[in-house]
Amino acid sequence: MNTTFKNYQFTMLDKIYRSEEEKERALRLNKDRKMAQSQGVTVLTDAIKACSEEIDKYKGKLVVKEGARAEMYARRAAQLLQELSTCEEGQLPPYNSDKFDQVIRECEEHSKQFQSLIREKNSKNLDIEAKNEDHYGSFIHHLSLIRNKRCLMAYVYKRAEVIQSYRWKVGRVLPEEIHDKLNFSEQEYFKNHCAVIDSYTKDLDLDLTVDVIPPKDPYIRVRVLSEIGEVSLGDHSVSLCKDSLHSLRRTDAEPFISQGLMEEFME
Amino acid sequence: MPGYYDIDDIIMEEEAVSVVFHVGANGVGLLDPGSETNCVEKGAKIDLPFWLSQELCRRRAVSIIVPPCFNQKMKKDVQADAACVDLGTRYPYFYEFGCKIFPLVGDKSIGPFLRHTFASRYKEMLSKSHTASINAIPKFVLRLSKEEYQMFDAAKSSMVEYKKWRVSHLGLTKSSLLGHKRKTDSQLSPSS
Repeated sequence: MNTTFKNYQFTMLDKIYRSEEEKERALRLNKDRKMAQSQGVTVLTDAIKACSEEIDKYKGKLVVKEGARAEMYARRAAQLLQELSTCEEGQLPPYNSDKFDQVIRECEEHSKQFQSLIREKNSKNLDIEAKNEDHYGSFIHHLSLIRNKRCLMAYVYKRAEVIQSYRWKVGRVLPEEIHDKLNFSEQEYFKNHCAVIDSYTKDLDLDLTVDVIPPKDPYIRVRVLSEIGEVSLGDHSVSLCKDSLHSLRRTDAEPFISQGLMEEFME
Repeated sequence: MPGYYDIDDIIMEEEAVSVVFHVGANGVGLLDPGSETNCVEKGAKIDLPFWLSQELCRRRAVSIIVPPCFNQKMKKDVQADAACVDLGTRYPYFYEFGCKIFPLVGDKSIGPFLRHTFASRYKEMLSKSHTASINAIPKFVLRLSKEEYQMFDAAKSSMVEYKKWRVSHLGLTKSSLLGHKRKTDSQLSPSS
């Protein structure tokens, strides 16, 4: 009986002891977990802090990068040419005077910077052959100037070429929609070009602007599309009313047709 | 040699290339978006338009990094199927650009690579340009580079001219040899 009691006591003690141990372990675990948690939180907050710091560091610069993309030297001048090249062959986009002026302003800015850099270089009393930071800076501005010049020249040149071709394709009088696309000096250029061709034609006594392939019939039947009025053609005068039909000499009718005032009448 | 006023050449030179500066340059901070001051520092790596990098490279102020259109990945793409590589939208001036940049970067493989690309794309381009309908623009045209497109256009218009010429010569008299038909036996002896 005694022994059984003792045994019981032992087992109880054992149990108690064990439960104590368990409690302690649980406590320790809990503590560990808490520590881990608090450590984890600090790690996280640290990381967030570092990230936001990093973001702040680059914030301003990222914006600058976007801005710089549009502002790259001579980019605008190239955009001008892009406008021209996307247009179909033999046609012109409207003269972009805004952009043209912007490019000119950029050129002035380059020239100013270039001169100030050269002054700075000279003030340092270096050998004239020496190449320092100022030298390369001014060189880049110089190249940008040349580049801008080339773009603008190509823009004007290409437009002039198309304008010249109008004299041969469209005739002496430009229709409204083409006329509006030219700027003032281009209109002058067109007039002068016409005058030059006219005087040359007079000297040769041969109209160069007529069709190269001879017509089968020297006369053409035309329908008048808009009111023109009394016109003297050669030795007689004709009254060209709207929707009237006429049989005219091809050479007389051609300028009217190219201006869109008449059309060939086909039965 | 493209002329001074050549618009395509000017637009091609706008293509951006990465360069590394060997020197510093004052007063051009705009080129380097990362710089705090108004200058580019030595060793900075920046994207510059080709016209600027070309001149700077000739004066040994910068060195040009081989652009991505001539890297290993592109070479593999071309090897796989050259005709499928989309040059039109990504590198519209692929060949011209390659020819211009090759002496500056000193990568000897670019020349043969360009030739290989062109040769393998040429055949398909030519056969398609001859069979393409006159008005519709087929889809694959968008994949062609600017230079290839010009060639495609030329081939197409020459085909149109050829067809016109053939139609206009249909009125020719037939050769007398072609008109002779050998008389068959039945015609020789109709009575039998």
